[in-house]
Amino acid sequence: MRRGVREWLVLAGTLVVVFGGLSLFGLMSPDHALRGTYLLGVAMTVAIYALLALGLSVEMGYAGLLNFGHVAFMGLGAYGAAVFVLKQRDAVVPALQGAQPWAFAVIALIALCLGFLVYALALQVAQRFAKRRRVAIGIAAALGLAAAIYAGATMYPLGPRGALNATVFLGVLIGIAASTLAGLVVGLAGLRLREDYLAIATLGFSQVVFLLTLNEADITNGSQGIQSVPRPIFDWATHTQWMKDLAKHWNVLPTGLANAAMGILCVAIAFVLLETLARAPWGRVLKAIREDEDVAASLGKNALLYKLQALMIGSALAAVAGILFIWNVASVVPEDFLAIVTFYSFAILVLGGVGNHKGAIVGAILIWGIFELAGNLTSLPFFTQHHIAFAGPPQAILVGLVLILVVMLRPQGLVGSKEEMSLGK
Amino acid sequence: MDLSAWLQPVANGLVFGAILALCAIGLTLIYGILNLSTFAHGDTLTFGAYMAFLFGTSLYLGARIVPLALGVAIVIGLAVLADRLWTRKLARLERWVLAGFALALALDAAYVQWRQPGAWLGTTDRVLVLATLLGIAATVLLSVLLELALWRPLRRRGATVLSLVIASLGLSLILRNAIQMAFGGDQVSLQRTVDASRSYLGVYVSNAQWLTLALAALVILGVHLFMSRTRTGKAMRALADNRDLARVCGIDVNRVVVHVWVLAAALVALAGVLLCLNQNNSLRTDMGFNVIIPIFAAVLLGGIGSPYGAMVGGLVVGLAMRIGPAKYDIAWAFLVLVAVLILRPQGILGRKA
Repeated sequence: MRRGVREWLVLAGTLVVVFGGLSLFGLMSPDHALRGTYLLGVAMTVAIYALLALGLSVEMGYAGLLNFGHVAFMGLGAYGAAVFVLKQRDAVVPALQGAQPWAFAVIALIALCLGFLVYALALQVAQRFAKRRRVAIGIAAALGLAAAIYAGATMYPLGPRGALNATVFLGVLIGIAASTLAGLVVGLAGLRLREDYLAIATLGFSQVVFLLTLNEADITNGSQGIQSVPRPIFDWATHTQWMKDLAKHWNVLPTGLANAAMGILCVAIAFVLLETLARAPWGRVLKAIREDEDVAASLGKNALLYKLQALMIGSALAAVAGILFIWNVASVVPEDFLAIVTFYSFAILVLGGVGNHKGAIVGAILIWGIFELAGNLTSLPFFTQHHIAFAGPPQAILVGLVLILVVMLRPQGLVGSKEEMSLGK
Repeated sequence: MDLSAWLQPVANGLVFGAILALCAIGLTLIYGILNLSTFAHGDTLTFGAYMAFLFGTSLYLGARIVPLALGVAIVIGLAVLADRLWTRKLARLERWVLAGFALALALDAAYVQWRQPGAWLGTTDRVLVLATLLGIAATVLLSVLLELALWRPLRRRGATVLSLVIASLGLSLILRNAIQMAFGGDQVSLQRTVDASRSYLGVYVSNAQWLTLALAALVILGVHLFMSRTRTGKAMRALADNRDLARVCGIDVNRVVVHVWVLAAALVALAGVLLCLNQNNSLRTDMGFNVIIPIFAAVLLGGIGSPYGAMVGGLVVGLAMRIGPAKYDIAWAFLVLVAVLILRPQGILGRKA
């Protein structure tokens, strides 16, 4: 228990230090409103990367899977949502409302993916039931989701572009489903392999996804990307009076406030879900598989199934991060999803501590905090005379150093523990 | 469609495959012997190419003293390292290689000094030869230093596959971005004479492509002789085969590992220069990272730890990438990779573990 307290203290400490330091820089800026909004923007980026790292934390920390193509799942989520909303809504939503036969196939596919996710999450509740019951619970969850999706698609009228309407709602689901489905396929192909083979294969997968988004211009609009993606949170914040009042009270922009709140909410939900899972039998089985697959198998646990579930949950979280990302910047281009994003997420996880979900959040705050602090430092007059910009290569070099130094000096990361998963042994 | 339209991609694929084979030989040995799937191998290629560019540019600009001094320093550094690493007198092979290298450097430097750069068209190519040699030396030095500072401590600590892969990822990031900080993110070009190409039954093959094929064939022959005739080469194969058995037989693992890094770095730096020659002499900071998946595909296809397998694998992957539609070239390599992983994880020339 004391360790738990220490971890929370580390988390709170990093928060205070990073955001305190950033607001100190903000004191020098004359524009008060920009300062608060800037901090909210940093919080949003931290939230997106924390979600990515949480996904990796399930995959690597709990299942021992090395996924070097994490950004591909983020990209699939983002593109799934954006492409659906902007290109297919005229075709798909009326079809759903008119209940064409093939529309049910679409619903069934989405529901199956998401249902499988729900099934994995429901496992901890269902663990005490017999196997057949668990399957029944999974199917029920899938059916329930299908009903919810159908209701969501048909109940809401087609609102103005950007409003939180059925199309956006469906787009989110499709983005998550596409990513989860890709996780399933990649897992089925790659999970029987050694850990470093999986790393190579997933890195290749992410490069192929990048080429697809770049070259399949009919669907993704190629290197131009998709501009003016609807931003439901943004639009909602600009049209809601109490939100505007609240933002005015704190002297920030309402849109920044709503975005950051959404991001922090997503991270909080994901964290609570993953912690519950980790404490449930499901998490313990995963850890057992990570430590020794044969022992887990001898106790009747299907290692492949558990790893698949971990991979799908990680992919779904990456998709959520991708959707938050496009809601934040309102556009999506292939270059948003380069391998460097995966590597940043890895640095975050490794720095915070593999095998500990708090570590992912601590790492995200620290890495982006360091980036922003260094960026602010180098924009001080002394540095600007020497034209030092802290973006791109210096950030990546720092991340590379973090990876190597943590592996060499403190394999368990900042809040990890040696008895748990660590990179050392 | 006539024949040449079919043969042209085959010719291009063979050339590209030869470059991939050069990269894959080193990686397969590192992978097999150290159990280290290093993602930094591609960026080592970039490093080699940029070092050649650096030396080439400064040589061509006439400031010959600086790169020559650097080159001499690098060769001396290598010799000192060699002396520290192999406390006994240098083995015969190393003596020959170092002596030959120094001789080649000296001859070429003398030649370049003698002929003013640009006095006649061949001179830029002579500068390039010298620059490539210096680039290879710099890359070898970097690799050996990294082995001493990074990989050997990690190995001694018994680091897992997971942490080794992550460390290599960090190294790859540092290398690539340090190069980008030093040389800028834009494309740069090697100084070279205009590349002529000739038609053979409608199939165009440029001089650079012939050069690549010839050099690759020579180097691969050399690697074959090295692997089959010399004690060090045999020790490498023994280590890749069964590390513990080799150690019991009295093979000094750390010493052989340094040789592996030297060989891998030299091959990959040469491949880097050849790769730019085949891309209109252009260098980009992500040129190495972009071919890491094809290189891994070649390694896995050939079977980890098998240099002959890597040669075959490189050619197959190169052909696959050039015969398929160009905008998805990485995807074809990825398909080969996935097919191998699923159908025959031990590779075509590998054996089941």
